Formats: sequence, structure tokens, C-alpha cells
Amino acid sequence: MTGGAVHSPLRDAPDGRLPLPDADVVLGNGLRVVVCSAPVVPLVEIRLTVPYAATEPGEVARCQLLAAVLLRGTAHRDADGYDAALAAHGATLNAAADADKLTVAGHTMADTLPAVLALLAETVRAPRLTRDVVLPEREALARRVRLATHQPAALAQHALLRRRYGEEAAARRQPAPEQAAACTPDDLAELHARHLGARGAVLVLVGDLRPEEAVAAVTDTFGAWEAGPTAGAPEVPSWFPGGPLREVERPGAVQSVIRLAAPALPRTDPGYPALHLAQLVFGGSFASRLVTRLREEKGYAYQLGSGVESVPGASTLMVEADTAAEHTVPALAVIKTELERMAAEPPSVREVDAARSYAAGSTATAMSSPGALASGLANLLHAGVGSDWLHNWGPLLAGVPHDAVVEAAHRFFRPARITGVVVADEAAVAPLRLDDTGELAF
Amino acid sequence: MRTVAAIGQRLALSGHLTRPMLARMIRTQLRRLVLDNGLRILLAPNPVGASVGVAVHYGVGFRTEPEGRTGLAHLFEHLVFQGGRDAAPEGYLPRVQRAGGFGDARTRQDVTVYYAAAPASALEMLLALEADRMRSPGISERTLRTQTAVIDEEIRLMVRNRPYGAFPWVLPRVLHSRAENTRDGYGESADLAAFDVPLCERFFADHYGPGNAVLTLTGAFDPAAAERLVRGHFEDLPARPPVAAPDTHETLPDRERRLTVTDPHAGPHAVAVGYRMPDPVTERADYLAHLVLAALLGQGRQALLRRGPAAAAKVSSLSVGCGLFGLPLDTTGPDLLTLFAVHEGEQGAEDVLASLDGTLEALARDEAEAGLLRATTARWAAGALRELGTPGTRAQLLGLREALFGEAELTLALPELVRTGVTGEQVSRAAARLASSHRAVVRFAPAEAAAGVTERAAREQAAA
Repeated sequence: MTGGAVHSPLRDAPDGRLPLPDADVVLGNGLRVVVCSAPVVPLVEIRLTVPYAATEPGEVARCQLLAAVLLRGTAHRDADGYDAALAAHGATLNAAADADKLTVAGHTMADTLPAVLALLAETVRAPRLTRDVVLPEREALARRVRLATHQPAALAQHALLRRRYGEEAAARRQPAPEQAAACTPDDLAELHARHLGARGAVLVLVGDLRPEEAVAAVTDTFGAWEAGPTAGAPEVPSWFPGGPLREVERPGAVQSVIRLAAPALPRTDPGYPALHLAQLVFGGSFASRLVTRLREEKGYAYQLGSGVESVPGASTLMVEADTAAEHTVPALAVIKTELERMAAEPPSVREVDAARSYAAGSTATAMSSPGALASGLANLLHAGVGSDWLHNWGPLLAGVPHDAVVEAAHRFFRPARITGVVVADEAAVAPLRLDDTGELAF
Repeated sequence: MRTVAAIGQRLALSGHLTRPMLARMIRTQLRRLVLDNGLRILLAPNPVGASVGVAVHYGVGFRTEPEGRTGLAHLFEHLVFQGGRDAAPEGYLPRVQRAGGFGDARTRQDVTVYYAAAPASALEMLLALEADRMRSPGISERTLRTQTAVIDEEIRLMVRNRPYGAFPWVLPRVLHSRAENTRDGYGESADLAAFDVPLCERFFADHYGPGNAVLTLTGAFDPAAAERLVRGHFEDLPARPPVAAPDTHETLPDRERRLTVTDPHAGPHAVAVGYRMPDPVTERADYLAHLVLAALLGQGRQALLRRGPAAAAKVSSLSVGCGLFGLPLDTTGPDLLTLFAVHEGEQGAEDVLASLDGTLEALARDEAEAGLLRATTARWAAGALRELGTPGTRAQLLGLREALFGEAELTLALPELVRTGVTGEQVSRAAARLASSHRAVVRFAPAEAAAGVTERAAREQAAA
């Protein structure tokens, strides 16, 4: 991939396929730059992804604090001065981090892209890691982590991590408030030196730009970013077995949050497209079996569906539904019946064809928004596929034989492969309780 | 048939416009036509990309639905979303998705909007589906029952089962007086339970005629071809006289109104504040100054309520916005400027209010620093432009301002109006107006903290 090419801007392909990126190059320091011209509005979308593996206890909290501090000034500018400079260009940038990566996402007015890239490079290379910045931010982070524990969906997500990977591995992927509160400026300096290097990082730019000028601006501003140590290989989440669901008690909850998961195939696996189509037939579209039964026939849910969550080297099939306390037991029964039916009544040719045209067309439709295209590309590149993935998505789906979808339906949707959590008032799930272990039959 | 007029953009060009922005704005041409049956059509082609956006706004919402029938506009949205008779048995959204598109709908104070985006090749199909449901929505006893249940789940998800779920609905309830202006959009349970098919059919006849609708097309299409398609699908719909919207004039609040809500799901305490906005039509310049004021108070790191001596300590999250849903200029009725802050400890609310009051007074006294004003409006404008980059959203926002104000151009001009059209002096006056006006203050008390102090119910008290 080194070297790469800057193409002349490709216009939208006549067959409805998304164009290839206009540039996909790697700078001398190892930073990969992917650029798409999409002059819909006079803005440029910016997505920077720096991958790493945060494997030590408490490290993910330190990474999140580093992300919180990252846009609070640089060695040369204080927080107000830094944000004022961004805002003057119409720019908004937000940083976030998890156990696999730090990301900066935002946008700027098109004609100030070079200046905003310079501001971003300045803080990525030399963030302001002084006590006056770090101490208030670590308090704020601890408060945010605590605040999230009151959101039923966040509670469910944490519990599902524990259910899938066990307490210890889940703790490494999830920050605790006390860990956030314990970080020091020195910790962050060490973390910055260890994780925030150019090697392996990816910068995606999408919008009203000339590709060669954009690449030149990135080279000017990020060319001197130190390569840093070779990024450790991302920690691939381990396979997890199916089993009873875990109850998370939320007294007084009038709606239960159901989150189910099963191991699936990584994005890079040749079998992924077939799995994706099977998933769309199951619960991934409005016409899907699960949405039809649970929402449009039973009225048991407003928000529900299935999807595939991808990280480098692994994917997880997710099934979600929020349902009234009194509908929890029957809703779980419907979900189980539909999972079983994927093998008993495999996806028909008609269902698969509908899923195929939905998958290809809706991706192109969604990606006509520059912001969505930038996020989509950044996520896909992080998950390990090429920058041509979106361009080839339609043909890739077209090439999936019906048999392969039927096989994926048999293989991935068996209830025995599923585990999960239900965040609910205890009365809502009482009939399912296996004993006093907090486990629920599914 | 009435006129077919091509209307170019008339923008206040101020010399600050950047090269691409100017070029793009001028390239966008809006074309209007009105069919004999009264349907207003807005064509807003944008030659970049391969998608189209379609929105249909009906001139009825939860503020203008019939008295004693609260929640009907929203329930009806769910029913109509299923599609018309010709879309059966598959239904509207499965058809749109199979064509590679997506669609959704929203019920707001004065309008109900159905919008979709899809590959350009699906334009005719989208139009046919919209004409179909404008002609004959598939309302049945069964869908009525199911969608009432789905809405019950929606209310649990959006209001009853989440922390601070009473926000933002509680603010108009406390600040306004007229029943129409204090509704929450979802409706009273008793009203919801009483809906039947004849009532829905009556609602359709009264409010869903072509004369009460605006159809907006955006994205990659040829205007002449699109006009032919629109006429082909919509011209034979019979005209129906729309029922006039009720008069919902709301007097200004005459005192500060305070309420404490006991929240069973809240962790930390929180406070919400609502101010009455200037009228979006007769006081447009003031309305825009309030928009800029809200951005100065709460947008980004450099927001006045987040930094400097006046900033309240121990605030975990803070937002300030115009419009009940954070979208400005989306109702012709009484509109709100809102603040919401999650804070530590019961006393924290007073700190937030003191910070707000002190900042408003300072801004009323001394104009905001010019650099800060410029940076704040530049960032706001870029954010507003960004929304126009998605065909479905673009159609929705153009049609919204056309339906409410007959002014689709406002959607395109708004970023520039905010960026260069509001002076520091106007913002000072807005701050003075807020500082001297009567507002609503709602505190959210976690159930555990409140249990010892008061009953497990909301209590209302007049301010001192």
C-alpha cells in the first residue's frame, strides 16, 4: 500500500456503486491518508484513527482521559485559545477512545482545511498535559462514567461485555470512575509517547476538496509526526460460548433492555457477506422477520433489530429489543422462535434478494452524506478491510449464492450459540429465573 | 394550475463568503409549483451525488390536533407510515428499503413530516408511494391496535424509562398556559385509548388533503423530468378543503414558574430552564440574535457557561439550544430557548442558575468580544451547513421552512444569516430580554434523594 496513488476525482459510477477513494497513500512516517472528493456542501469531514492495544488494568481509562485532554490546548496554546482557533475556521473536533483506538472526528469549512489540520497535528504531537488541564478533565471523566451507569442501554452494554468476555477482560475494555480519578499528567505523557504515533494511524478526509491539495496539506502538517513505536497488534476479542442470559436488576424499570450476542465472522472473512445477508433477513431491516413479528404484529417494541458489530479480527452478531416489563417474557420467546426459524425455514430466494438490494443500495444512499462516508470508511479501515470495500460492496453481495446465506442462517442463529443480558425490574423476568444465580433461561 | 416560478437565491452577500460556499449556494435553485388541488411542490436539485431526498410535510402536528384528541397526530403518523393501499401487503418501508433507500417520519408542533432518501433511480417509486398514502392510507383496526402498542413502547423508551425523560416536554408544560401549547406530543393515555378507525378517517379527511401539504424533492434529478413525474402521480388527487388550525396565541408568562420533578431513574440532580423565544416571523432579527446567544452560552469548549469565572463547577453535561427539539425555526407557535444541565448535589442547580444569570447580565451590559462572536457564529454556521449534506435531511429542512413560513430559502440562507447577520449589539439586547423575562425552571431530583423530603410525585410551587 506504500506509495499508493492519487487518482483524478472519479465521479459517481453510473451503476450506483460508490466511487473509489480519490487518494489512498501512506506518508513516510507511516500515516495512511484516504481522501474522497464529495462537494455536497462546502465542508470537509475529518476522521483520525490511531490504533493500539490497551491491555493493562486501568489503561482504557487513561486512554479516555488522553482523548478528553487532546483538544484542550497544546504545548503552545491554552484550551480557550485552541478552541477559539478551531471555531474561527468553523471547525468542530471531538476525540474519543476505547481499548482499541483513539479517534478524532469532526468537520471544518473547506477553505480552512490546512489550518485545521495544522491545529489537529499540533495537539496530536504535543497535547497540553499540564495539571491545570488534566485535573479538571479527570474529574469530568469520572462524572461522565458515573452518569452513564444510570442509562439503561449503557448498563446493558457493560453487562454484555462481562457476559461475553468475563469480568477481567471486560474490566480492561471498560473504564471505572476510580481509575479515571487516579490518572496523573505523567501517566498521560507516558501513554501519549507509547500510543500516539503516526505508524498505523489513518486519516480520512471527505468533502469539498481537491485530492492532491488535501494530500499535500496533510503531508505539510502531519509529515513531521513521529512514527512512534510499532503499534501492538490489536487484542482480538476471544470467542465466547452461548448460554443463559444474565439478569441485571433495575428496580422500577417499566421497560426491559434485551441485548443478545453470538460470535460471528470478521469483516475480512470471505463468508462475511453471506452472514450479513442472513442477518438482514433475520432482524436487520424493517421488512425482516423479527421486526415484522415483534413490532408490526405484536407491538412489543419500538426500537429493535439485529446487526453485526465489527472490530479488528472479530465480529459479533447482536440482537436488541427494548420491550415493556410485562412483555419481556413473550418478547424473548418470539426472538427465540425467530432464531430457530432461521434454520427450520431458511431465508427464501425472495428474502435474500430483497436483503441484497437493500444492503447494496442503502449503503450507497447513506454514504451520499459526506459525514457518513467519512465515518464508514474510518470504521471499515480500522476493522481491517481495504479502502475499495464500499466500491466493491454491491458486486460482492451479488456474488453470494443463495445456498451460502442458508448455510449462514443454519450456522450462526442457533439459540444455543446465543448469550446476553436483560436489564429489567426483577418481576419482569421472574418466570425465567433459573435459580438465585441471576441467570435467565433462554 | 398556478405559476411555475424559478427563484434564485437572494442572499445578503457580505464579502465573508468563501469561494466554495458562494459557488454552491448560487448553484442551488429552488423551483416552486402549485397543482390545481393545492399541493405545493418544491424542487431543489443538487447535481452532486447519486441520491434523491423526498419529504412530504402535512400542516398538522401535536399543537394543532383536535382538542380532546391529544396524541392523534402522532398516532396517525404511525398509521400513515405503513403506507397506502397500493403499498400493501409489503408496506411502505420494506419497499423503500428494497430499492436501497430509507425513510422515517416525525410529528412536530405544527407539521408532520414523512421523508426518505434513495438512489436517484428510485425517485418515481418514492413519489408513487407518497401519492398512494396521500390518496388512501391503509388504516385498519389491527394496525391501529398494534401501533398504539408500539407507541406505548416508544413512550417508555423516550420518556418513562430513562433518566431525565421528562425533558424537554416538561418545559412548555410549565412555561405556557394554553392546553395546545403545553402538550407533550405523545398524548394523554385516556385520549390514546379512545381512538378508533372512523376518528382516524376523519382526521385524514380534515388534515391530509393535498392542499395542506408540501412535497419537497432534493438531490440528483432533472427538474423538468421530476415535474412530469410529480404531475403524473399527484395531479389527479382530489382537492379537499383543509380545516383551519386553531388559534393558539400564547401570552407571555407573567411570572417565573418553578417545578421539581422526582425522577425515579436519575443519578445526579439536573436542572432545565426554558425561556420564551421571540416570534419567528414578526421578530425574525431578534430570533436570530437569540440563536447566536444560545450558541455563545453553550456551544463548544469556549462557551461562556463552560469557562471563565462565571462557569458553574461540577456540571457533568450542559446544553443550550433553540427550539423544543434543538432545531430552530421549526414552529410558528410559541418557541423555547432551553438549557439543560446535570450537576452534583441539590445546591448545584442554584450554581447553574447563578452562572446563567451572571452571564446574561454581563452580556447585556457589555457586548460579546468580537473575536468570540465571529468564532461562535462561524462554528454554528458550519454545523448548519453540514446538515444540508444529507439528501433526506435537506428535503426535510427545506420543506419545513416552506410549510411553516413559505420560505424554503431560509434553510439555505440561515448559516450565512447567523454567521454575518447578527451584531454584538443585537446579542446584548437578546441577553437583556432574557434576563428580564419570566422563565420556567425545572429541577430533576433523584428519587432516593427526594423520597425523604417530599411525596413521590411532582410538586409545583410558584417562585418567590
